[in-house]
Amino acid sequence: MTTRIVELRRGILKKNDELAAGLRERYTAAGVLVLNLVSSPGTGKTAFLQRTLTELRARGARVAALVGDLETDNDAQRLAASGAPVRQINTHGICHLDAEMIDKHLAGWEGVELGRLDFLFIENVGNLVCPSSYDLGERVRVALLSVTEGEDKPLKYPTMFNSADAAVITKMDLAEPCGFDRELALKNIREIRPGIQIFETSAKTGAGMKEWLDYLALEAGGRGAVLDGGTVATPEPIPIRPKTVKSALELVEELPEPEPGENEPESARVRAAKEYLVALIDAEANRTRQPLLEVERKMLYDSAKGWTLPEMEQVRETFNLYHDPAEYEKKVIRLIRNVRLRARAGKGKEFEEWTEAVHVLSREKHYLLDLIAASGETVRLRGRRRNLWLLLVICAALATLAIWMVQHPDDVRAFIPGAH
Amino acid sequence: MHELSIVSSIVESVTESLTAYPGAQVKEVRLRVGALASVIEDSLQFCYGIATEDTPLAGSKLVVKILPVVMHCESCRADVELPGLQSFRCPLCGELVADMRQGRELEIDSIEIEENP
Repeated sequence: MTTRIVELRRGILKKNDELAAGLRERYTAAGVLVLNLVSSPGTGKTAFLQRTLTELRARGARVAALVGDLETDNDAQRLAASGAPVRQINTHGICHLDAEMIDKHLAGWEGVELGRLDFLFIENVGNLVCPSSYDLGERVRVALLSVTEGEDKPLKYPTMFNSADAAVITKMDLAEPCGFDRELALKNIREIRPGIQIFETSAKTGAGMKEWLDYLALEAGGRGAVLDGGTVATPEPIPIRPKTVKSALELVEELPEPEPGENEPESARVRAAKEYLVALIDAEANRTRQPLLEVERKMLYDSAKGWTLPEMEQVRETFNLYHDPAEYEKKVIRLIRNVRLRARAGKGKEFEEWTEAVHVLSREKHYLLDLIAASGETVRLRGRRRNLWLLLVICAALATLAIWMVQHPDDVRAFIPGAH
Repeated sequence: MHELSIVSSIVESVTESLTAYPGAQVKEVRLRVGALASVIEDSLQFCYGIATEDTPLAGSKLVVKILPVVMHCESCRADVELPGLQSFRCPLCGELVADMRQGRELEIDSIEIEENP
């Protein structure tokens, strides 16, 4: 009899993870944004989702929802009141949804085609523990917390809150009677998941819904962004100091215009270079589990005069409303530094491509260029260098003139009237 | 709560890998479980006994190695181990850290089997 140790190194939930990866590919191909909503039982997921579905439909978005519960189709009935197609998943005792259940319920869902949806919401089983282990292929995981649950919930369930991409506080209309300590709740969430987006909402009064819906619209690449004119009681959003982005754009203001005539091919090159750099930064963000939001990714395309995205104006506006530019820049600069280190450590070609892309941008005013410069890379502005040459030529000419004047005082005197 | 489904996956996975070693007996199954994997060792052990009955894993021992959460701190330029799960701050400099390097693992590391030659 011989004893042998067999190395397996195999993920226990490999089957679920593979299925989820397949689902994720399908969602991406279909262009539908899929969200997984997780919380304790009674947080108000269904009420929140019902309002979300209704409002998104009012904005012209195509939405659907899958809702998981151990038993009954009560939630599906409530959600169906929004007019959106809804399908109930009964797990019959299982405490979470898994990728296989989603796959099964997507198949043969009458009247629903992924390719014709903008948003698919999955309301998970009320449970703050188990659903965190099961990837459903979603792009955004939303952890919900109600004001009645206590501010320390994120500390009690760190696994769930740490795995979330966005957090929603529900029942804000009850905050006061419950003595809810808002600052403490926000601090606790951020302590467990640094940098997470937090929405403070009330499905009853509609507070905070506009910010949430705008976030969804941006995540979905602008779909569902059209407001249908004030069906929601929305408080004014609090603008966060929009200083750094603006000032960064002004910094490069003194750069010269690109030379006329080379605009056309230049803008195509700039676009390609930007897309290349942004893709690298985005990949790094995903790798380090701090994925960029759609609006954050798009901000990287910002430019005062050079080529940029057609929807830049709207992106900038949303960014200025909901984001802290200082935090954002800190995060992006770190990512850029990592990308460059990685490129430098890898094959020489990668670093060459990075440098070339930066070089292409360096003729115009681009926000990305500022961020790259701030990350410690020496960015030579091509336009500025031309100015330097001009300055050198002028200096040389003046110096020659001065020398000539010193050497030929008589000739100089001849030029000055009345000097004889 | 979902430990039973996790243990079922383990049984399935190990049984599958045993096809390469016909007649072998499983003595030990070793897991690597991250502190953020939402899995409780006691529950795993409890479910393991039940779920392995009448399978090639019956009577084997389950060894669970819990891996602490390791985060990368940009300011310290170092991978740091978190002392607990109550705060995602670098224990060296106190900055919030979001770049996780270890802590969500949920895998079968290896199995120990006994073969009859």
